[in-house]
Amino acid sequence: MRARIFMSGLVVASMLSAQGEAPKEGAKAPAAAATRPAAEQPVAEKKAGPRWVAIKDATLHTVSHGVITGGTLLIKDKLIHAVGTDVTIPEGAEIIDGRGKHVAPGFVAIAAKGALGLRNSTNKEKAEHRFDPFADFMQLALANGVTTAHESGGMADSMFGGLFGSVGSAFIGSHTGQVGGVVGKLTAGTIEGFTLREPAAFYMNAPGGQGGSARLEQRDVFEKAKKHRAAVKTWLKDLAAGKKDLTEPKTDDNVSALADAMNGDVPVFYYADNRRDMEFGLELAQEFGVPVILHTAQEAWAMAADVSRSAAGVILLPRGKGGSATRPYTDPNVDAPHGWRIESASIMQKTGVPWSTMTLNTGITTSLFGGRDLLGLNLEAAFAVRGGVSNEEALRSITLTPAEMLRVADRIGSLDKGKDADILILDREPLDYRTFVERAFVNGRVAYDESVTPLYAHIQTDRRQPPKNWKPWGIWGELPEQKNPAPLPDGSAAPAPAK
Amino acid sequence: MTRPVMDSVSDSLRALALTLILATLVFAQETPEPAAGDDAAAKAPVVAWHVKRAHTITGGVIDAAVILVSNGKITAVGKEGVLEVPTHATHEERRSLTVAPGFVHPAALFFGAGERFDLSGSAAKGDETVRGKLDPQEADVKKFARSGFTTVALMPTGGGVSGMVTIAKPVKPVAGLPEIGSLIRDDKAALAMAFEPGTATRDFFLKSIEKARKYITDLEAFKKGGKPAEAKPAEPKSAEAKPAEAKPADAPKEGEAKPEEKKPEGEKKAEEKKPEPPKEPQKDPKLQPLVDALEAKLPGVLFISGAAAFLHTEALLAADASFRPAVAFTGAAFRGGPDAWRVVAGLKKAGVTVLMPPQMSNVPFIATLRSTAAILLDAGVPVAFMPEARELEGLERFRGELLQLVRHGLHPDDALRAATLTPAEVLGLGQRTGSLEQGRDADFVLYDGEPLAPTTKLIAVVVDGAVIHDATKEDR
Repeated sequence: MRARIFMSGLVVASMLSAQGEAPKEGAKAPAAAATRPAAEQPVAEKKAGPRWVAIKDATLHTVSHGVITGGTLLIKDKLIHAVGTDVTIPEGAEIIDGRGKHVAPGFVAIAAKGALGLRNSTNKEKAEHRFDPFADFMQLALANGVTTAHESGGMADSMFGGLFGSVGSAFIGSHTGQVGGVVGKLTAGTIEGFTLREPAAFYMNAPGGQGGSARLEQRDVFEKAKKHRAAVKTWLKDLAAGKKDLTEPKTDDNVSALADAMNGDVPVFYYADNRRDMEFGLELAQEFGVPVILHTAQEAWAMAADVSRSAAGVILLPRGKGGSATRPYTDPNVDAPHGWRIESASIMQKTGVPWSTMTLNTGITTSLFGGRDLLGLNLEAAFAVRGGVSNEEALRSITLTPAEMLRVADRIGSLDKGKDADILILDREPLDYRTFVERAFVNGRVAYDESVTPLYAHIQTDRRQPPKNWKPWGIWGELPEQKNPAPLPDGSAAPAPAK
Repeated sequence: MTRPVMDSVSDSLRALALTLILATLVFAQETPEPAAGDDAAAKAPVVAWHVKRAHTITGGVIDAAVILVSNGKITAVGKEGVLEVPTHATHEERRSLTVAPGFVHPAALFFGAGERFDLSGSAAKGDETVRGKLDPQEADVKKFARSGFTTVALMPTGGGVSGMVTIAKPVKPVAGLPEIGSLIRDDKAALAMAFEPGTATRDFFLKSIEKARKYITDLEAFKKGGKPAEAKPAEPKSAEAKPAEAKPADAPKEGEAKPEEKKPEGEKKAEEKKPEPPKEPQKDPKLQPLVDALEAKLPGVLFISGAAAFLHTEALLAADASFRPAVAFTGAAFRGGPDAWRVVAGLKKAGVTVLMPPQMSNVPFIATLRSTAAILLDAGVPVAFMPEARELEGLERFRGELLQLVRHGLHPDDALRAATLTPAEVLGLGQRTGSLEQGRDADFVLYDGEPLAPTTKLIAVVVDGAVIHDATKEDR
């Protein structure tokens, strides 16, 4: 220490007089910036009044009460405040000119993988604690109108969700069932207001080709759940009666979830696409009083009466799962009506079975299933129209009906006062294949804006112009013309570039 | 009784210091050479480095500068002709070279410290160090000496509280396997943590922070009241949340009442002298670093993957206002590089320093190249670069990477600071290294041009005043 006083005496002395003690050599003195406590920073958070956004003079597809032309939708903070033609817009509201635009509730993807930015799915971990609100697939799904997604668990990765997303009924689970999944919002950019329902539902694969023992095992789960439910009932009764020395009946999570489903508290998704599987599922549903929702119910049209009696609804692929129009899927071992029909949705509609639309691939892809993944949800619903349902009914199958099936219809699914402001501003009818999402609101906040995220900026239509200074090659600009091409390896001159 | 004594002691210290200064000044005016003849300071050799230009970081750029180095420390930096050079000083004539502080690597995995940043899991390894894992080879030491880095923080990896950070400095390469101890300066310089969003990891951190905070409040109450036995049970597990919650409400009452009772100083002193009662809150060695971090005694670094993870981290930062580790974005390149710019408002609000690889951010689908560092610095968020290189060879690219950022709008001075002083501050070494200033370690690098110019070559490296690499001499 003394050795250093030679030149730095002044500094040392000033430190001594300031602190009254010698500075400890090597004392840890992190910079103010590194350890500045947050409390010291005055964060000016303006506590202003509510934030109003009004979409004026637009065509409002309310889903719950028809289409309103020249209507106004008023958003107050996170909720829809008013919908109609005689809405008074408060002062200071942000006004969006809706002339020529269509407004619809955000689409609900009832079978999805990857849209919520979830990785390494396990049922012990809550989705809201680990999802990625900046996931690219979330942006893509929003750009195609999906604002809420239901992911049943299993393998889901925001990078590869498309590749590994389940195809049709391939739920990664078992015939004995499993509780889990999440209904989440595509909040893009924030983690607030994500969860709508978690765990979302009880999932069960039909025994399918696994034979009789699998059927018995599945039946056994229902039996256990029934027993558990009865035990809980007695226990509650005894508890109310004031009896002593009672033990709460215990069972595993899955059985208890199925018991809750028997009370109608938890939706049950039963993955069955053919007659045989559906028949067995409906039998169980009937016997144990569990209103199941048939997932990927391709052949439901062929047994509409049974479905109508025992199921709470069906999830359909209006375009079918296999085969094609010219070479339909058939099973030579089945002599009853089976296979896929374009009229599936229409038959369900007529029978009074709630139906919602899913896509063939539940993830987001750029190959293999392009056009039949989550990015084409409205397109898939449009095929139901081809099978005989109305536009409104088809739109309901990707908005309010899935919301009802997932038990979140009090929050989302239609343009109604008091519901969450999960809204799409579209440049055409919601089910038109040329439609682009201009803006997607989630919880009243702009989660996707076409002009900011130019995913589809290169596609020009009479209604869409590319942004100013936009280059088809993005950041690389135009491809430069090669002035003096290098000679070829054999020494000859390179051919002139084709004009 | 004590205070007068203490005062007189510090008074006499001050007086001593003043006389020393006066003596120095007086002697300096008369005969600088034998300043305070009896003093070791006078005999300490002084080296005067004469350079073309010095980037001091804290004191701007000085043309035709002189840096005086004695006993491994910088004793003065100034302009040629203005700064007085002691006559007994030896001279290093490097008038064609530019000097800047050596780079500081705030998160390195060299010498076998780790393979990659592993964020998963939630292990409590607060008391572990990386020294045992280190296995430097002869060639490594040579590369390290030529890297331009004069301070490197070797990081433990693993999710949760990962362990203690080791500080290493390069040494002059010698033949044979190096002794690990010669490289290491500090085994427990900072606390490394890693967080991968998830329910279990989140609960782990929230619980650990709560425990550490409880220990601090318990200890405070213990020191204040001296009767902690009633307030909290000795076992931390059975304590639960109730006593911790009750304390803040009770503490002021105790604080008001007890000083009045114990005003007689003798009694107070007697209690201090008394051997500590056994009911003091038990120290958990695994938790202690986190306690120190909350009390700002130990710097902390929290590794996360990217902006999305930071949104989940905000819940941890909200749990305790003193939990403010530097946040390191490991940002995988294939995910678009460091995307901290997305959460710049949150980072600013939290008041944390950001560690990030010196890369641009190119987010897929948006296809916009962003200079994350420039965006953060513009918003007032301090940035320190952590070169992504896992091996020592990669460090040669570091200056090129900085150059790339400068090309995309980062000010060269900001780039240099983010590679020197800010990382030093993150590691709690802001008063030791990272700038050319009086009292700092003499850790600097000499270049044949501007440090951040593409054609510039690294000529020499000085660590603690000793030349550990000199290209001009080795080439001969």
